[in-house]
Amino acid sequence: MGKENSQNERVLVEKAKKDPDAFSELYDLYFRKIFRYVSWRTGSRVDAEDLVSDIFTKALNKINSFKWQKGATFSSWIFRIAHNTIVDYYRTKHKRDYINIDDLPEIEADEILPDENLDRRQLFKKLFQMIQELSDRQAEVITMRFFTGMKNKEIAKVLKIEEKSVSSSLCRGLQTLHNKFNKQ
Amino acid sequence: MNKQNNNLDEKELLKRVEDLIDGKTNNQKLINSFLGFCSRLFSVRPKTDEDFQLSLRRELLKKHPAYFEKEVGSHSDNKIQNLIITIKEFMTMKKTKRFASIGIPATLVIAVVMIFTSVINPAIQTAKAMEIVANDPQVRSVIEEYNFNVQEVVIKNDTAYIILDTVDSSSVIVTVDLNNGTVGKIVKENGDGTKVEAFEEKAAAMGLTVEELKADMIEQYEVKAESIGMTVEEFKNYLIEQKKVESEAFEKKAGANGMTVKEFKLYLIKQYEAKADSMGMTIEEFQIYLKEQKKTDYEEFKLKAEEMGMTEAEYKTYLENQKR
Repeated sequence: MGKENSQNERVLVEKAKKDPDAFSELYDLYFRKIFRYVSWRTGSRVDAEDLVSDIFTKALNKINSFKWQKGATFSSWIFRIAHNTIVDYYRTKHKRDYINIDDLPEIEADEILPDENLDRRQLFKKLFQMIQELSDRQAEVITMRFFTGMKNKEIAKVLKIEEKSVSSSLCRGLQTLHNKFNKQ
Repeated sequence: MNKQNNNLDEKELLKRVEDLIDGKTNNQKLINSFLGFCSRLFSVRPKTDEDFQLSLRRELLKKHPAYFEKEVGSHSDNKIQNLIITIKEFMTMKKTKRFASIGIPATLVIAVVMIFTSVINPAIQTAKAMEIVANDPQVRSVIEEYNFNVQEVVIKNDTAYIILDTVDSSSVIVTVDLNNGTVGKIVKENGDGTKVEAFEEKAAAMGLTVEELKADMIEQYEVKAESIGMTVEEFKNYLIEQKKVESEAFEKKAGANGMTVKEFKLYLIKQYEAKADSMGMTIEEFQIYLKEQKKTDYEEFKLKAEEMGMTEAEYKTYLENQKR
């Protein structure tokens, strides 16, 4: 995030504490990113919608306690909430063995061709199953880096690990995924 | 990394992955299968459901502390307090002042009644007339033929005259009987002041009589109905049902966004204007552009249906089944 954007976001967050419209703007900025991340972590559209709802409700309830500290961004704060929500989710739920194709999220595309859409969902299913088999950290790092627009530095803050660990988890995780993908 | 990547060290490869995610690369993904795989993974982005996004936003905003203060606190408490203050003030007024304070609200009531008869009632009738016109295939055909816009609606003795105009300064007047809910004459007024029944002109251009033209239009309507396996009556009901579903969905969308239908329409118009503006077009140019796009899409759809040896209806069903 550029310096100017970061400053704008800072103003917006402060405003959002008191003004519902500003909160709404903030919500629109993060909704898509959070939804993608949660969809990749759960593999279920229904569960993703429930969790996204939880995450934003928590963010709304806690926004007054959010403070700008050195190096902290609103992005890392809200993704920390999202990460913790996912951790809680897997505390009560086992990782999926069976994936219902009807419950998979729709996948974005430039062309609206239904047959391709089906292929994309199958591809999502295949990749999701392979990501499920990675370590939790690798799965988190890959989904955060690929689908939320966060940089390694921010991911390190969210997961409370070293930036170097983010890079190596990303590299190893991708390598494992690639090998698995080629074997199938 | 694996054998395929032995020409790149791990650090370099990771940098390329980073570039790929950040959109700084376009062809590098083709260098080896690892980057190709990353590119593929990156393209599988779950799509958000707009309705869900809107309804969640609405729920959240209701939970926002400031919203609560604004909506609940200010409304009920303040209303009661204001009422008490008004009663107290009224009781302490002198007689003349009391009469004046009754006279003003009475005037307001009369004004409201007048506004209803002169503004609101015609607005309801206008909406009714527009609905009748929108459901009439003949008028639709004329509007599409000449690319008309609604310029004015005049209500007179349970009859609505809908004036449509074009850029070439000609206009069409559609007469609607509000009691029967039927469309009457459709008259075209040319720029030179001459009037002609719109169908007469169209029929003449096609070398047909008005009756033949009307029969032809009805036939087209029947063909359309048949192509989707319906009787004309079923097709008519289907169109009415579709219209209902569309307007219900619109209402729902407006509601989910915390707006009335009118507010939501205004909001969409603003977005539409912004889109036109962002493409450096006027609204008219943008409308033409969209119309052209729609035409092209339809042509492509027709072509694809032909290529697959299907009718349009069959191809549509085929696509829907594929989607399922």
